[in-house]
Amino acid sequence: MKRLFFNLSIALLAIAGGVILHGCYPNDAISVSETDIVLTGYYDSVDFKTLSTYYLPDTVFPVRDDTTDKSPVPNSDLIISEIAKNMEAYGYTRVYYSDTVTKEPDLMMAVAAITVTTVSVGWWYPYYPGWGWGWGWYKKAPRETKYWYGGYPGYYPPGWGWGGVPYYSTYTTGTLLMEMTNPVDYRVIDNDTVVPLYWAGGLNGVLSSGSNTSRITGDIDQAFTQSPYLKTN
Amino acid sequence: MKKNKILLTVIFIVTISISSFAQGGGIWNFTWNMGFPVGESSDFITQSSFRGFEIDGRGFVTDNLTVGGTAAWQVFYENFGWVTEDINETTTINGYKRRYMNVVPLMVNAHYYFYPGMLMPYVGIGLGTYYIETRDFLGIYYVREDAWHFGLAPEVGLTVPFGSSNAAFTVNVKYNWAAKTKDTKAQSWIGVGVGFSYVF
Repeated sequence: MKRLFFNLSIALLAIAGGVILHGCYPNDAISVSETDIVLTGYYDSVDFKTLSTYYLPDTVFPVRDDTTDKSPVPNSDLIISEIAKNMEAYGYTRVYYSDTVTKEPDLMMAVAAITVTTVSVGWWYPYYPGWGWGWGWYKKAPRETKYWYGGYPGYYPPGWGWGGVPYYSTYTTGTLLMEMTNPVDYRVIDNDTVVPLYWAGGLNGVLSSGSNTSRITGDIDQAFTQSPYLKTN
Repeated sequence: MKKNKILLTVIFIVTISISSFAQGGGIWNFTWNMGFPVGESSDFITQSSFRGFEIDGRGFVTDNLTVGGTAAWQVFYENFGWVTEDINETTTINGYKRRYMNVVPLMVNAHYYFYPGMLMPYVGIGLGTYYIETRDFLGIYYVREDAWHFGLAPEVGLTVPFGSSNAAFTVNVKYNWAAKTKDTKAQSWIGVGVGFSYVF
């Protein structure tokens, strides 16, 4: 009897050990600014030193499902001015629409912004350290509807303990795309006109409900810092 | 779902170990494990792990030889901070990088105990499988790989009983080696376990 009791407590210890260790799991909470990713790529056949002028539109283009929504992208002016600042530091001269009639710029830049909202659903069991996660991934760009996805309810059916309390959390990621092309460098492949991207930079991060301005300027600067081949000076 | 399977396998191994103690006595070991990555593992994570736990059940089949089973869990983690890396010759990425390696060793083992009085030193080896899951995070995105690796774990250790009671203090050093699989690399680390035993 004593042996049986002992053996049973061993089994419970094994389970308890697992649960305790789950609590010991390294806490990886990161701040919103730590979600930022900056990705850049370029066309390596191009010698950027031979280029000097570029055209940059004065607003950021919003990529939206609802094309009748004409509202501006938040911080559009800041984004454009930061890009212009970095391009000038690298020795480029900006040309404006009225100038392009007489002199074609070497490069055309396009800047676009997309937001994606992700909803996750979980069940919280009061006596248990939250293993009942149901991740509901649904990316529906870029309309900010909260889309509900029924994630699986974890291990225990409702009725064990109290039955679960569902909770929802959402977060919105913003993506900024900057692309550079040469208007005269195009090829026709299978009857399609194809323009190679000379340079592309993308920023992605979770949007904070507060101000995102320092992250935007910092990440645009980082995109140029990690692209030293763009320098013409 | 994966964690469910691991939990059930742990319970299974523990139960098997219990059933092997028909007669002859045995030893239960409960240790807190540290892990120090070596070889290819240290290319992935350099920091030592202090998050590990093991349950080991052994039964004496002769006066000196035990056979048993063990289940454990070890977590390796490293925060690399902000990094800028070249994905290929023309693409560069910058982000906040962290890496995890989660390991569940499940093994059968055999040990030889030397019995000079108050100390019980032993050597032995474990054979079985390591379930290893690695996650490489950049911001909120991660690359995940997991596999069941064949593994070997030679071990030396010492069990020191407290007086004439059944309880004992135990310490061991183990070289954990998980073989490479078709899609994932080999992993290896040195484990140091410290804990208590029940000798019966």
